[in-house]
Amino acid sequence: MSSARYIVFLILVLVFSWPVLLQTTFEVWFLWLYPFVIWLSIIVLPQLYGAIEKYRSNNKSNNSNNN
Amino acid sequence: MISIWFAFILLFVYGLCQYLIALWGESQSKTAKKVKSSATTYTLSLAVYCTSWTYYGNINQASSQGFHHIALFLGSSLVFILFTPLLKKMVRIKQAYHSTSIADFISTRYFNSQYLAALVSLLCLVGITPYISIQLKSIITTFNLLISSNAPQQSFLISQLDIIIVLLMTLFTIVFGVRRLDPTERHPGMMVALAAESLFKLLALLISGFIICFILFNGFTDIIDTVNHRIEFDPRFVVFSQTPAVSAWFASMFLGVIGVIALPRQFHVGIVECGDEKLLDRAKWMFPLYLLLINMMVLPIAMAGLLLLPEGSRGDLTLLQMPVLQQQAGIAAMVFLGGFAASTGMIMVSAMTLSTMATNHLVVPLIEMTPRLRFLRRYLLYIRWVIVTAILFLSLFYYRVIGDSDVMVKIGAISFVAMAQLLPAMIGGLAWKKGNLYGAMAGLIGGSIIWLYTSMLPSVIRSGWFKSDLLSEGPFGISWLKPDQLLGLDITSNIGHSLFWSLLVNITLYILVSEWRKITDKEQLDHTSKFLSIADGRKSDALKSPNLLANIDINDKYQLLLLFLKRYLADDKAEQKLALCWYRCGFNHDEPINILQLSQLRTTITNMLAGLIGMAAANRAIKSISLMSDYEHKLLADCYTDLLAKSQVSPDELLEKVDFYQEKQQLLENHAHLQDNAITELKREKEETLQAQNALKGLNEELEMRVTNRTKELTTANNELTHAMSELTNTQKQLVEADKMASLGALVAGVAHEINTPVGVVLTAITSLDREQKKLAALFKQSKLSKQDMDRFFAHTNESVDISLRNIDRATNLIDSFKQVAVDQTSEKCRLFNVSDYIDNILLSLKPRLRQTNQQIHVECDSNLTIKSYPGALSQMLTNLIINSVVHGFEGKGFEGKGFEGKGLADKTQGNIYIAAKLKHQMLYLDYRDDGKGLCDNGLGNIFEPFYTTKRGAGGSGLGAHIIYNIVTQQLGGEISIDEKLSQGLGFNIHFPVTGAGGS
Repeated sequence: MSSARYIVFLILVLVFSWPVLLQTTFEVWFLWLYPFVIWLSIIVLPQLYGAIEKYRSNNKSNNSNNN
Repeated sequence: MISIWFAFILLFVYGLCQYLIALWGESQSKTAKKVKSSATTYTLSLAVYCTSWTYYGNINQASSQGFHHIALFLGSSLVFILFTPLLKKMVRIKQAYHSTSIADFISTRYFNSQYLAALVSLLCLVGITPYISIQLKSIITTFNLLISSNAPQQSFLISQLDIIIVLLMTLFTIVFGVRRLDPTERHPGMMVALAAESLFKLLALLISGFIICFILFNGFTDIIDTVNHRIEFDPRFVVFSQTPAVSAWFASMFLGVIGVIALPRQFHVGIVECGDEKLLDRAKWMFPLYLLLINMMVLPIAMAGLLLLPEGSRGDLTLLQMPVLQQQAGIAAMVFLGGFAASTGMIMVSAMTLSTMATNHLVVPLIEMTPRLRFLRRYLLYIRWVIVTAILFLSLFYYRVIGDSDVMVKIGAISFVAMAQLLPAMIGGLAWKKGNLYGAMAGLIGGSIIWLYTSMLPSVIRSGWFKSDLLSEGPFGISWLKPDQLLGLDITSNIGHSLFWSLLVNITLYILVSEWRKITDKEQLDHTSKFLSIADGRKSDALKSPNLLANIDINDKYQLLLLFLKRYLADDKAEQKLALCWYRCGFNHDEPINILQLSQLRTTITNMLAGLIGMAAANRAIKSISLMSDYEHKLLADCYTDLLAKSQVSPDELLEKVDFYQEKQQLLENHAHLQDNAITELKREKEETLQAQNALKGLNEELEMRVTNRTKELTTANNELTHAMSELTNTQKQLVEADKMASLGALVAGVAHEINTPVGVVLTAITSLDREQKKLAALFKQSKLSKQDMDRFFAHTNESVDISLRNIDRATNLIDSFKQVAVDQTSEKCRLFNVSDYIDNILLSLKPRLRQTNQQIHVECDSNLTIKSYPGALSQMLTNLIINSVVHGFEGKGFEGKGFEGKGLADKTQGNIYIAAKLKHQMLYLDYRDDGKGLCDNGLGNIFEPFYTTKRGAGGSGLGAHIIYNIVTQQLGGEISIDEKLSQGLGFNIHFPVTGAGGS
């Protein structure tokens, strides 16, 4: 397994945890929604990226077939 | 809230639905196959991860620690989002070695060590059984809350509720998970049922959350604004604006990472039940999404609970308490069932996996070691059932003993830390080639001891079962050995503290011992290489060489293996399984095999047996029967050496090439398998088509037979009808002919009557002349004849002759007229004739008949009107019209109304008949009417119908008007209609085309 995954894992852990590391008070709204927004982003964005990549590769293969 | 019986019915219906779903999931229907193999079902079944600890416990945790609860699920989500390749490795190994549990999986890596498998199983039993008790507690507590207001009447049921629930759970687990002994340890029906459960608990939580937020409050803003306001003066709400302790946060996150990999139930649904590693591609985003959704409403619900429920209410019951307090029975039942689903899923899968591990790695080795117990080999299924029951009742014991103590509160996290001890051996075994059995055993034992010391012991002491100053002063007064402050390390979170030390010891021992006690045994090293190759997606099964000498008698091996399998299976099952292995190896009973084929047979049998008793036990068992002699072992080793030497490649290169061809072969086999499936499907479709064709053929034959019979019946009926029609036509013709002859008869009668008068006059004149002539002759003979006599005679003769001639001339004229009419009535020839004269002739011919009555006939016609048409038809038409008027129209005239039809003879009262004829545009318009009594409406409607008569039984044939209609419409080509304008009598308007017409 690529070590890049472990690095990304650590980065994401820090992204989620920085409010905890600061150990201070926050708005209730923020503490409720912040993790969910990041959480949803890391679920959706890779899928979106994958879909775009797939679309691009399909287009490329279609173009090469046409040529 | 609701009655206890209704609650039990609810549980029964829920269980029945789950059972039906599982049954359907195991069926062979196309939809069921699609559903059970779908990635969505797999992902939803992974959500067995979310137990009642998530469903109720999260809200409790959020009430006291704010958003801390999501750390666990964030850790689990990150594993799925980032480390699916690791999970895929595990799936590959499981498929290659037929691993049936996490203990089996770990022991497979470490040379199928039975001791390691037993140790892992023991740790799982100790760590997970108490965790099951939380689920039981959740069910029992929520059940009690649901029926609280109706409880007193059924005190016995309430007191024994926990036992009833445990029995119910035992039944669920056996029915869904351990119903039969399956070598693959896969349960598609249970997976579908788990997926349905997961969906249900998610929906229940979301729906109840929305109801709380949007019905009890005015949305999230309302709740959070209220909380913001309360923070200022109520310390309970401060947690919602504060972050948790760093150690607790990271410990929870790490527990989430561990839980999703190492919990036995997660390993089972995620790895053992995974039929294809591609399923993980969808699970890697869908499962985190599920976790996100199930956590989304937790914080608002916890806030709402604190705001609405009385102070001191239990946080873990917040979700159910709110609908109960609001008297919303439906929502309360839904929430309860959601929690029940969350608990049953966990209990079922955990009890099943624990029973599998306990059977395969604790009971089976014990049976093998104890000759007296070997008869139990054939009762493995029942042993599993007993173990399931034992585990669940042990959980009940925990629940009853521990109750609401500190252990119970923390048991979930404590269990997670226990399972974390499996991680170094598992992940290290996948990533580090040097990791060996000794390191794994040392790490596991060391880590488990630290876990017991730092996790379990402090909780037990805090629960008050031991009055000890161990926590405050440490053992023997050694402060740096305090269980919750080991080596003086003070970490806020006890769980974080335990996790840190236990894993530190575990990992350290694993690495150090593995390095210290290096494995030198070639077989063990080969095993490790093979394991890691499979994990990396390369295969390294035994090689085949066509040049090897096939000199091993297969029948001996067959008998040996049959006896071996009969230890674990019924006789017929053992034979079936062995036949299957023979088939997979492609062996023939009579042909000897070579050493590599024997090796392949050993692998196949081991894999098959591993599905029943685990890989470690299977390896141990297969070794015990000496399937290969020492000579065969040496032959096998030589064979591998020769192969490597001949190929002149390094072992790694050889493995790569072999892998290439084996992958190719695998692809071909997969393709062949697909083809087989397609052929089977085609055969099935063909059979269905044939059946449908046969059914259709049968139906066609039946239909043809029915059509033939019906045709015959119709033909017969048709013949009869034709015959009847023919008879009717003949009868009609005869009647028409008779009618015509009757007309002719009337004509002849008229002629005779008319001629009678002139003929009579002539006869009288001639008779008188004869008398005078005789008188004259007598006078002449007597010679008395005088001149006077002669003069008188001459005068008389002249007068008689004159009279005679005039009357004969009249008779001749009459005969000519009658002759023409009679000829016309019979000849049906078209000719030129004068209409007026012809009508006169007709009337003349009818005079005798008309003389009996008292009707006046008035004719209005141009005397010069000459047409070319069918005078006979005209004659018959007018004759019938006049006769009808005379017979029907004037009969009983003066007796209008009912009963006039009954008068017998024609009334002699006076009447008039009007006939008008005129030519217009080559059409002759003939208007006929009488001033008789007319016809009723029914008569008018049916007058032209054949055989319709008002004189039935009194001589009327009912054909007169019908004949008139036929003459006008068919012979003359015209039209006839009833004159409806008349207020009295009956009239007809007739017109028909004529040719060669003349006249004014």
